[in-house]
Amino acid sequence: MSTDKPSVAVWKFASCDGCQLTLLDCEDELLEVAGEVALAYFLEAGLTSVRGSYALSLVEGSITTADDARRIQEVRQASRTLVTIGACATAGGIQALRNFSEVDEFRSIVYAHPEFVETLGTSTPISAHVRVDLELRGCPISKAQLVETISAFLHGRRPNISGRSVCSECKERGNVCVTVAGGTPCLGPITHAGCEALCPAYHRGCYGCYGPADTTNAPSLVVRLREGGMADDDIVRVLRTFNAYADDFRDASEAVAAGKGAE
Amino acid sequence: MTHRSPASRTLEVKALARVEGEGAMFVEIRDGAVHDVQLRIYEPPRFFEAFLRGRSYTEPPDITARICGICPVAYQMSAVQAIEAACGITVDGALRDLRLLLYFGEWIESHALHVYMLHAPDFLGYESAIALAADHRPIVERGLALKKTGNDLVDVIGGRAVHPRQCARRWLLPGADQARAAAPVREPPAGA
Repeated sequence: MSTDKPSVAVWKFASCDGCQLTLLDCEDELLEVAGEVALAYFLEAGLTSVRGSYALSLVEGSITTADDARRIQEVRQASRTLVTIGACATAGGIQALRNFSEVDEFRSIVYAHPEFVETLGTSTPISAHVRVDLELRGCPISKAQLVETISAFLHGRRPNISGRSVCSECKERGNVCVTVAGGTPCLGPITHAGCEALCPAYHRGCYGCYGPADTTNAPSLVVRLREGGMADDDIVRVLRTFNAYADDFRDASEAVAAGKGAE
Repeated sequence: MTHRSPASRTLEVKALARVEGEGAMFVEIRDGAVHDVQLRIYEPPRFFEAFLRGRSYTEPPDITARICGICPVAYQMSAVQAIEAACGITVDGALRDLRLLLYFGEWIESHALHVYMLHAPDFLGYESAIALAADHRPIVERGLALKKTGNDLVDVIGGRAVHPRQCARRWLLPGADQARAAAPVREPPAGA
């Protein structure tokens, strides 16, 4: 590989591998992209030769161990541009449900020998530890947004990724609103776009896998969910999945759990 | 890897590549015999078994998918079957066929990924599929086409290739309404 191509690394922390797999799932674009960059470190794809520094680091996963808290500092120092990919890296992921509970209790019921299992009491996003240049939302991320990000990086421009809500994508797709027309609870009004309104297109309510949109009014949605007949503990649970610890979702679920937000 | 002599040596792989999950392996050979083997899984724990407690019966398929982004259907299917077994529901006919197709899609994608992108470079002496493509592009392109076929199948039936969604209730829990009628369980939350 020629050395004038920008080197790209893919890093994994606590996660499911699905977001970095999205890169390998770009079957039509993969070889073209690989021709433009020097893929230097990508363990899932077998690339293990760690070099000095990287022009672009794609970071998947959240920080849940002391080792990983140290490792992300090294990754940041070695990276000119750092982009987080997915809900784990951007919001702590579903493993951030421990943040609302006691990790020791979690550890003791899952593992026969909890003393062998090292973990922190919280799962936190990469931005809680180091400076992040761009966050890609989603569980998993959108292939189109990933390709756009890499393309923008190669051309030295800002990626064109909208922070609007899933509702906008529903309108573009011509979906009939599942809540207004069908009474189905839906997190679309407060959820970040990127999935092309996948679930409402199949008559299911959005379950928030892209996390909060840039501007949200979660308390207002909570009122609407209650009017639709949802019990408070159901509202708390639907807000506490893959982006449970993202600010807007966390604030809303904590308010409902505390019996607030109806006024 | 470190070597001392042919009969006595130590193999240390600090990061196992080409897998979901992180691990390391240490093998010590003394006088031609394996003396010690240590497999260290340092993949951080995520505690799915703990946070699944207290969830409605409609929620586990969407949650367990997130155990693995490479084989989400396997986890969704396991959750669905566990719930159906608990509710005494049997699924057959076209719905069972659709589930099998969804599963086959994941298998085709995952096997093509493994054979072409992960194993083939090892067998042929290349660092990666990218490096392999420089010399054998048609072979890698064939692998990518096969992989895409599997992903397309999951996409058509499940809505998207990673963490497909159109499974849990509409496709894969056809008995959910009967189960709710038969037993007093909590209503599903938004999006279920």
